[in-house]
Amino acid sequence: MTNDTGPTSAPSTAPATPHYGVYFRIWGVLLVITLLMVLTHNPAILLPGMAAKATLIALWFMHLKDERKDFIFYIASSIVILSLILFALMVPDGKAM
Amino acid sequence: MTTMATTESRWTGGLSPFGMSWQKLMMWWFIVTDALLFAGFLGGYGFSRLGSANWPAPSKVFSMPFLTVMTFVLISSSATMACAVAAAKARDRAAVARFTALTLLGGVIFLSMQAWEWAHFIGDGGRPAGNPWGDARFGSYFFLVTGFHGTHVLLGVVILLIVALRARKDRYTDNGVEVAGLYWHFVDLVWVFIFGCFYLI
Repeated sequence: MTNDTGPTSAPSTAPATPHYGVYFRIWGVLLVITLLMVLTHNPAILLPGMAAKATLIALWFMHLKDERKDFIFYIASSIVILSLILFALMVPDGKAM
Repeated sequence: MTTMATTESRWTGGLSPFGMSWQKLMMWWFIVTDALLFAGFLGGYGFSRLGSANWPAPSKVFSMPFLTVMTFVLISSSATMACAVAAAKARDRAAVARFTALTLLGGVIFLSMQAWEWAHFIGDGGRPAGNPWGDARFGSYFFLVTGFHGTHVLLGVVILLIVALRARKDRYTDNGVEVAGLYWHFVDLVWVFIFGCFYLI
């Protein structure tokens, strides 16, 4: 972490004052979704709830929404395609049981 | 960055893929592979649970209010980490130190609560090879999934400690804080799925 030569460490784009508000709003939404998931215990809430939380964290907290479109596609497609292969390879085991 | 792209050929080197620092790109690669590790764990868990006749109801074994507080703590630490990254981008050293210290505190509280949960699970007879509540694999997956996640949190706490100390000495870089933040958010993201798939469903 000592290397400071990366292109993102250029100070030119630094805002004068950081905007924390958006992170607290996302935080609030995440807490509300979590509460809903815990209180309802309904799979119809749980699955979209998990997807919504993961999307909020990845896009806003991890700043994926500020990255280049090709990078978002690169990361998202890698995880989705490789996970699908992983899950698909379990099917033959299920049939053998 | 853009001047480099226009003055140098793509083949002479010096260009950053996707216009980001190599540290950040490598952290994202790590996150992809690490996501697959947990996808494998949760996939295997789902596979075992769907084929099991006597999988215990998690709400009978664990304290749901306690787990909800744990989840709140981790989400809150992720929010403070996002603030630390924003502060680092804005060159606000004091805010970086403050927000990383808060994140660190959240990580330590989460780990302490997990230690308490493990102690109770073991105290009640939960073992990797068997448990009093039902399917023996329930205990295996509990230790495997929460153990791997907890180890990730522990590593994150060490990373955050380094970031916090560097911020105190004014030796941090915004890139370093951002990369540490990516890791911490990912650990939070994994917990979203563990909490939902293992404890709530």
